[in-house]
Amino acid sequence: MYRSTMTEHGNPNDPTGAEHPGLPRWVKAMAIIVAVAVLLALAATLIAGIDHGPGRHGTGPSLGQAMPR
Amino acid sequence: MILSGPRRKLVLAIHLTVSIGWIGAVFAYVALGVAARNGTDLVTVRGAWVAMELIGWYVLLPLAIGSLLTGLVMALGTRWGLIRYYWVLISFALTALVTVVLLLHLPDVSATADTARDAEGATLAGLGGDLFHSLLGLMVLVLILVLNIYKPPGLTRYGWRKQAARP
Repeated sequence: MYRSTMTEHGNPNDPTGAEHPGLPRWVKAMAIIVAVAVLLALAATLIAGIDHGPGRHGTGPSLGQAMPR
Repeated sequence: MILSGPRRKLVLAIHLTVSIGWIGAVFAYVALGVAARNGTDLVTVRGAWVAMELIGWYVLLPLAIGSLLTGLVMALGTRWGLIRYYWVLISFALTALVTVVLLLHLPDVSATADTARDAEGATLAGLGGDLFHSLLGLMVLVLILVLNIYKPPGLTRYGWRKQAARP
């Protein structure tokens, strides 16, 4: 990945060129993977009807009560 | 301000200790979660949830905050900077995200632990093991660890300008 990035944009850690080479490939790949994971999680939440989020998936009567007391 | 050699090594030692300790503590939390989820013995389930609450507040949270703060000092106190390289920026953003999610989630862990203290039978057995959050958090922490070891190349626009302007 490093070599191909260097071939396309020059050395990504050496700003000898005038213009910024843009996002490195690994950042783009990571962004795509994260976006797909978030979409899958959202879809699973919607399909399964899970009410997920802070304070919404506790089970006890004292929901929201913090430990240090 | 760039840290001097001995100070940089001290902060690095603290950063590595708390960060790797954090990952280790999540492994322990996952083990307790598995015991809580699969435990047929109700005492084990109850004990696991109480231990998960204690680990969450008194081990995971301090280590998360420690990792975030020492990571910030390491970034700002070395040539890497906080927003010069994509790997530093992404590592910090992910660490901050995991810390915030942990902080928001811990009250729910406490609530479940409170239920576990009093519940019996099917209620206790049905509490689950909080494995979704812990396993997802573990995956993100390992990703941050990999980023910090490999330090993949790539300057941000800010880093590019800064480095180009250097004599």
